[in-house]
Amino acid sequence: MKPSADIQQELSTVAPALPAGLPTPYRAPEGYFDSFAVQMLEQVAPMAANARVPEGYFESFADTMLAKVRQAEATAELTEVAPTLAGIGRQMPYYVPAGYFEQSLPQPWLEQGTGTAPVRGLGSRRWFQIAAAVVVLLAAAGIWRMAGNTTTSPDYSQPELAAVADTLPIPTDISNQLAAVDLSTLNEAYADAAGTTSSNDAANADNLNAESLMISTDNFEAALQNFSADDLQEHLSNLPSSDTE
Amino acid sequence: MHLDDSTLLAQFADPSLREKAYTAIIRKYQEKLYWHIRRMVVEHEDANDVMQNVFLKVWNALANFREDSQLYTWLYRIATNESISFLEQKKRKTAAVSLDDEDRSINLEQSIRADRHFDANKLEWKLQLAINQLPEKQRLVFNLRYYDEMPYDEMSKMLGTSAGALKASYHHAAKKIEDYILKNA
Repeated sequence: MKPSADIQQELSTVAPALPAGLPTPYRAPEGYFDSFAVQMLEQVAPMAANARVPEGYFESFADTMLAKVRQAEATAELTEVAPTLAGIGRQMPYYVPAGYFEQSLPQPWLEQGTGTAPVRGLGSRRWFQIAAAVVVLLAAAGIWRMAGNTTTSPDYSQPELAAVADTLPIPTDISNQLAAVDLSTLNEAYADAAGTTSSNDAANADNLNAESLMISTDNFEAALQNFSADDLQEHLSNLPSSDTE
Repeated sequence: MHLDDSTLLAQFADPSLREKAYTAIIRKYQEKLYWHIRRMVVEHEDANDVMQNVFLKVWNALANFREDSQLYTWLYRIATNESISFLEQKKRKTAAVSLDDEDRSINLEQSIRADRHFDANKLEWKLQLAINQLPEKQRLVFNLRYYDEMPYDEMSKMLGTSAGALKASYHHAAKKIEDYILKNA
């Protein structure tokens, strides 16, 4: 930087051999001035931040602490029984397609009301499998009841049936046949298997659970073992399809 | 572009804008203050320590700053006082124990020569060696006038010394430096 005129003139008067405007030869580390303000703010900000509580802190504090306690207990337990396993991260290695969880699931057919929509219209393979499993269960229950079993059990809700459906393999030919069965048919099958004839039940999808079946899982599964896919298919073939209504 | 001092001070007075204003003040004055401090304490690490002390004081005291003086004069005063305090502490810590300027200047000369960019043949380095032969007050006045081109009346407000005395001090310092450079040419 060029020195101002009065500085130069003053210096030339008192020390003519000393040139004005020599630069300072020291150097500051590269980037020092870029980061200094931030560093200073980090030093002083805690003083200012002491009086602040993050938004929603107290609302979530109990849940946060509970989660931490549970995690600590789980880790301690695992460390005790399997120290090596405890050291392995819990991150799932499986790949989930991008946006999978953001996709909306199809409306459960049980909530669709009148039961007039054909099953074949449902696009989800998952719901089709549940429907198929329900029919298989109902058909088997009907056969099982015809065999004279009357053991009672806790009620079965739709999620429980779905869970059972997950464990049951559905033969391909039965699945194909189920494609021709509509909701009302399923309800009728349910009513038939439950020993009732209420047509209202068929129209009320909310009633499509096993609350009247009164079956026990153990007995039912044992009974199911006695029926082959052919037996089930034969029983299914007696169910009316949507085309016949 | 930097905001003017009165805007920065108004922002600093507002708690919601305080950190923003503080950052802006640092960015506006950090280089001038750094070089002022660096010329006094020579080594970067020491200059950085003093810089931090300066701006911690600024954070704590700026709310009480009275606008009857310019902000940058106030900052320079803090930087000068902190630099002198730092050198006093450093002097007390040296094994030499001696508190006279000669021993301190020798200590600073070692720091200058230890700089990785030091070049004894370059005039700007010779000037640094010459400046650090001066008594502390003359050194301070010379730096403020030669490098920062600070007017005597402003310097007077900052250091609490008359403008005439400062001018005399500067002239003495300039002559001493000239002699040093001529002897070591």
